[in-house]
Amino acid sequence: MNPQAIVARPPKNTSAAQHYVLKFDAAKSGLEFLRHVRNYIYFLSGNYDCGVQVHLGLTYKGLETLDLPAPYLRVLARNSPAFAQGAAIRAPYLGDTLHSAPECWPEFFAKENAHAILSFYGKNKDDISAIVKMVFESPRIIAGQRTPKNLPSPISKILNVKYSPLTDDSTPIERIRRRLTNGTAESTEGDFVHFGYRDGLTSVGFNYPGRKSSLKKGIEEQWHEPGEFLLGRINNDGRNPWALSQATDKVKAFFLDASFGILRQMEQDVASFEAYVSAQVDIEAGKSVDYIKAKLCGRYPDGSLLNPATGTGDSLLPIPLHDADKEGFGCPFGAHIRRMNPRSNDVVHLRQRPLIRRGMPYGVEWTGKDKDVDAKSRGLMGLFFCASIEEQFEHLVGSWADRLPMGFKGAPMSKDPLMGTQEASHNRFEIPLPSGAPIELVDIPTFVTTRGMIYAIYLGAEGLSLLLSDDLIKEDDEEDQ
Amino acid sequence: MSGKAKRKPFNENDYQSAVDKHAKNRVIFEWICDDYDRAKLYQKLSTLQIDTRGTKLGAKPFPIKSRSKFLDDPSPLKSDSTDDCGSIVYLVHNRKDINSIMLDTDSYSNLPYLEIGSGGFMLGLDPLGISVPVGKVDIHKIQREALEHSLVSWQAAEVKTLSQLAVKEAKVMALRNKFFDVADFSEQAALRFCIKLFGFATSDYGLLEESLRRTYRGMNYQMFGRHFLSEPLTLPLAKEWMGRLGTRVSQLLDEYQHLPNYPRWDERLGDPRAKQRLLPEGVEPLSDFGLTGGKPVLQVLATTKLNLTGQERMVIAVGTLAGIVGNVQASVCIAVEHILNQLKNNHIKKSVGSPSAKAFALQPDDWTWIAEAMKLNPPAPYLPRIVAKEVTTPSGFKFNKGDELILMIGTGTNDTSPICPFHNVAGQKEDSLIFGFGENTNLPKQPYSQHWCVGDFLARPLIEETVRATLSLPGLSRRYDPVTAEPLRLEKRWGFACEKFPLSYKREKLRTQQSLNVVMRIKAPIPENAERLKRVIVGGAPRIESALIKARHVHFAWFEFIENDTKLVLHTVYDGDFEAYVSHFALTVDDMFDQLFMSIEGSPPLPVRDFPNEFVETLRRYNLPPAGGYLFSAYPTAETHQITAAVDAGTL
Repeated sequence: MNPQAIVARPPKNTSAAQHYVLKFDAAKSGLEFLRHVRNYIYFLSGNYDCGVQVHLGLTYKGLETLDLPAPYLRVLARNSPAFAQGAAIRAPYLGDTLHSAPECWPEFFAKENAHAILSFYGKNKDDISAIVKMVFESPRIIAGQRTPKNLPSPISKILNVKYSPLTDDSTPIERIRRRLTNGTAESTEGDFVHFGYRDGLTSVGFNYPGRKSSLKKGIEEQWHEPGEFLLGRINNDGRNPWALSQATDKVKAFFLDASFGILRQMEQDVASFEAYVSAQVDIEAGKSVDYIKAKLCGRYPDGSLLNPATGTGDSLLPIPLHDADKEGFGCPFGAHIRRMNPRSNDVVHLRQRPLIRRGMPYGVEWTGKDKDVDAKSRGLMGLFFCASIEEQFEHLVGSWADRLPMGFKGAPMSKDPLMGTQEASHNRFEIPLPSGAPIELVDIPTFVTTRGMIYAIYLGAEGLSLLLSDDLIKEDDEEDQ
Repeated sequence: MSGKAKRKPFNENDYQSAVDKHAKNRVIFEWICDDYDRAKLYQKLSTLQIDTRGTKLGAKPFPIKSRSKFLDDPSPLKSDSTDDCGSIVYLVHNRKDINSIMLDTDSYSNLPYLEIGSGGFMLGLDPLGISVPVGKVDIHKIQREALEHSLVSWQAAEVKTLSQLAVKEAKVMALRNKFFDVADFSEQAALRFCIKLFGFATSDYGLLEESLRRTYRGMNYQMFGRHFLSEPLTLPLAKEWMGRLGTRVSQLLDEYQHLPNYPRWDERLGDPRAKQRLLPEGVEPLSDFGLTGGKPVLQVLATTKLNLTGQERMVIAVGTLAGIVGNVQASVCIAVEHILNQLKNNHIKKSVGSPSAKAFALQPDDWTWIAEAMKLNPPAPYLPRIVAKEVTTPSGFKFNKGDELILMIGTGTNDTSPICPFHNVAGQKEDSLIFGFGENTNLPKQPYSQHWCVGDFLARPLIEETVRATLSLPGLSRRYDPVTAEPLRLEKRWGFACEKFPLSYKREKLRTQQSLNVVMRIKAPIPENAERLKRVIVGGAPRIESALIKARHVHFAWFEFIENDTKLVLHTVYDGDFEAYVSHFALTVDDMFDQLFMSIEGSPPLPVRDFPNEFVETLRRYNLPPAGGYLFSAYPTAETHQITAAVDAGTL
């Protein structure tokens, strides 16, 4: 088992990241560039560590541009139509409409322009910038090509590879670290997102040889079969949808241990969020800022859970056990975490739809005081991994976030209060109470706008080697068999 | 494979450098057909220094060589030595000239409309007098009064209610799938509006649809297209279909006239059919829809004392119908596209929708957006005129008798100079070139009021309701080119007649239930396999039952043998969409499907467990949608789990 390391485990000791969208000029130069990049890519079995982990995702358009033979493209189009179509075409299903619609995304997210994603994770901005420079600007003279005055030029220039940073100022993004008010001996600091919630409290993953549990107290672990995230492996249902029974060994090897990655830039309107939450506060009725935030998310900002018995804090539960909260008195049915990870069996036709999350906030923190700082763009640069874009990522975002998961009680068409593109008449949120009528929050604005999205495949070590060495089954070979 | 080739950018020199008059005609046409180029052309028209008469024109009417030699030239005679692009038509683009021409009905005639059979009527709508003198009778005034009279019983509130009803009815079919076409939706709304307003039978829908499409296209051809294209069939077909519609209208007028004296049946106390006594067969009483004030236009036209023949009454009705449907369709499409285009610059977030919610939907006071869209792209952007006598325009251009003109309404509405004030209706900016605002409005007459336009009273509420209904659809989105992922845009014929505007919405939020009808051919030997399948179904029924109960999203499911037991059909009604639920559910009973598929032709590779994607594709391929895509549900938003929970709780 040798997928790219980021799929199997969170990048170690990393606080910063940067993502680039690449566009290749042609197959030959694109492959040449990727052979150069190959040296930096971090696979699970690799024991080299330059301090910065580099990961490569290729889009369907990118694979077409790199002249991936038709037998492989056909497998992708048949087994993952969402990947083949690309993120923009799937956006309406996800609820990425209106201001989040693809026509509002920057040009480099366009299907024709996004061929690959190159992600860099490192300890700090400087480390990342150094590797970025080596990857894109290594002086190089390509055999048979002459540069002006015979001087070496940046490789990306020689090979006509366009690379666009996802953040406006092209500087790497960094985690928001804060001291925990409820910290423990093991952890006094935690990661946070711009809305002020603690992040990284649930670890989703799969078992692989040599996996070490290094998780800290208070972190929930959810382990699944590898096939939920890796192609060619058995999933939670005991099936292998990428068994490719009729394909040749070379085709199977190409896809083995690949994973689909979804890069999704989500801009967060912190000012609107804080203003809306403040407007709902009613201290006499017990509705503090933290209470409202806790109900919208399903956790208090510091990560602590809501007690189903009282409907407020101090839950003794270590993890969100929604089975024990059948009426939603603790965690409302419409709350963000209950939708995104229902865990229990109250969802109609339950099928676990796990996603590995490797996201990180971008942009400077909102202050509420400094207008210049607050006017800047900020949000979450989400990077999600799964084996089925349709059944996992798209179902979560397009179904469970876009309406209440079927089977839940409450306003069925209401959207995720934190991340939904709100529409009139459905922009409400119910807080069930142990006694009395539920509290209803209405006129919820849209707090999150999708600024762009890319569907990519992160090939395993063997798949990438086969691609770069052009050791692939061609159309004619397949017909001969 | 990929989308359309990119157009080369607008270059005003293309006209001068065009090799001949054919090429020049084509350059102008290409510019006019493209939104971006047309806007550039409008900007440049006032400065282009081209004049076939040898003088510099500046902002004066711009002459182009027309492909249409004669006014009534659907197809030139073989014996005629056609001089293609030999005649001149003037594009009148100066606001002052347009205003003047529309008001001066002594000097300018709307004769071109005669070719499609309504030249005597109010297409083009002059405020006074007539375009074609008929003795000393002011026929136009009589016609206008007749139409006004036929609408007297309709109050604005009732027109609004009728609009809402028409939109609601149009939703049933136009929005039956998640992919829909705004052009289709708005056309359906307008047709259903007209059926009730005029008092047609429901069964007249098809006739109205086809005849008004043909007529609208004929009008557009006559007004504009014939100068650039040759479509020999367009006008004859328009005339033929207008004739068919006219025949039906005449028949209804006769019936409406006849029925007061000879009701369909005697009035009896308590007879539920009483309200239909004076209505022709198939006409639904307006009171059935809560419309108690308005009377069918045809009924009033038929029974009112007017100095008009039956033929003239028919022409009034047909002419009005022809003016409503196509223009409502165009207005709605233009407005929706304009508003969606504004999303990119973020202005729409603040201005459309509830300010507090910042949720997206057109609110009652958001007409401004529609008005702005129509100002930028008027739904009826070209009006034809013939010069009736020698005359000089306000811009100083001298026309000769017989000169053909096209009034470029789009240049007029985009003229922002101070001489072109917007009319201020309830504080909203609007242009009199679109809805007229003539002497029949309650407003004081304005210097640039053009005409009394029935559109302001009838079409405007319908446009507003249809645009609002479209923008309120959950998950409203553009559709994207499947190859390039570029958004599919509003398709306009000749740059203005809106033919297609594909969008999508989350249908399951309005109608959660879906049907699945998988029709599978039984493998030979058919009798044996049919018997085997029956045994499999009987034997597996408890297993299916258990799986369906556990699934909690299937309302009904059954098998049916059809065509003499040669095909097996799996029917289900379920919640959610196919991708999200059917595929995974089916995989939970995959062994059952293995058994079934053993006796089915064209089955996917088995076992299902090893070929899940192929299995799902097979289901999709053999699935037949309901006829016309129409599926009725008495409770379209109720989901299985909600119903069973209510049953379990004893509340249902």
